[in-house]
Amino acid sequence: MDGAPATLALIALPVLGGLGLYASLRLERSESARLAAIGLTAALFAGLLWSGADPGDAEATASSRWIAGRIAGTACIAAAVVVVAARRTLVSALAFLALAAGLAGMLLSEGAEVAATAALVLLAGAVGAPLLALVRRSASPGSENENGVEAEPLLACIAGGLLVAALVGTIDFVFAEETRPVDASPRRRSLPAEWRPTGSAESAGAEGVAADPPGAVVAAIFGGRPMLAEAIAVLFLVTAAGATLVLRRGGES
Amino acid sequence: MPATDDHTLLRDALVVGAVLLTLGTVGLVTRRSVIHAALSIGTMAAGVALTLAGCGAFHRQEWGEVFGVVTLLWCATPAVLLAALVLRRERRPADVEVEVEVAQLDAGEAP
Repeated sequence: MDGAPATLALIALPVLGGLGLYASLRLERSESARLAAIGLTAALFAGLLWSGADPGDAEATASSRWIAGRIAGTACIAAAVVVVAARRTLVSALAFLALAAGLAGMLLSEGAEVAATAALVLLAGAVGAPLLALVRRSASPGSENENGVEAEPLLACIAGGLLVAALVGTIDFVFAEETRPVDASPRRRSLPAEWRPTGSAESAGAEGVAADPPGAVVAAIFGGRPMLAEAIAVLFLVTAAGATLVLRRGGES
Repeated sequence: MPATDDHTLLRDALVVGAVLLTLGTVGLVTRRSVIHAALSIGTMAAGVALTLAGCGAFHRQEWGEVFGVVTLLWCATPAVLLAALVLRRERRPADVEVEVEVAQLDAGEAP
């Protein structure tokens, strides 16, 4: 979509999406109307994704990676709308797990397998699952009222719609210019050559390289800078120790 | 010059990242529940990670992916600590209720 229709979509979709988000947050009496508002909001925000320019050539348009990326992105946006607008925290936590899965699919379509794995492990495993357990633990008949909406989310929704319009407008403005990459080398392949199957065609040029999968994984993620791995490991350790300490103190008191 | 679908993939990642970041911000502002706040922060982190990883993949730099992972980790850390704090806060009333019920049963009263 180019020209005036794209500009119109860029203006109309965030505004209508913001209004739909406001309606989904404010509608309290009718559950079906609120579900319809949530679905409409997700469709409007996902329309921003689908209103983008097509790749142009038929081969790129038909590529499964492009289609899978857009489907995963749509799932991401829909799950995020449910996370924000759902009245019950249990539904929000379940939608967050769906968001993690959609994000992993989106990252896979971008060729970022390590980040996709980390998204699943960290978002779904380290964040979603404990919060889901917490919701289940604290579920009681009177607890749903505590998860209500603040008095007036209208300004926040308007600001959110404007923010989406500004961000997507900036992206489309930049893409209207000729965007050149820093490095024009072929797209990074999914696996380093030294830990592909030895019989595959892709590994034919990798003979003679020492097979060291753990070292290859570390090198692929962190390059020649082990300090980053050390920092992340220390952060993990501090997190685990802090959580254990907090729980132990809570149990003793 | 990358293929045209590389531009489209990058544009999709940026748009979805922007929408996730905005929705997470709105959720953080509008919801009063602590769990909703943690989920909104996670949504914002997902948007940031997607943006970083998409840019890194487009420019053939692994640092984008690494920073995306670090962003996810950075937001998972307070979320886990938050869950621990809420569990700690919610343990006390439950323990008190159990103790009261046990005392009532010992005294021969219905809880």
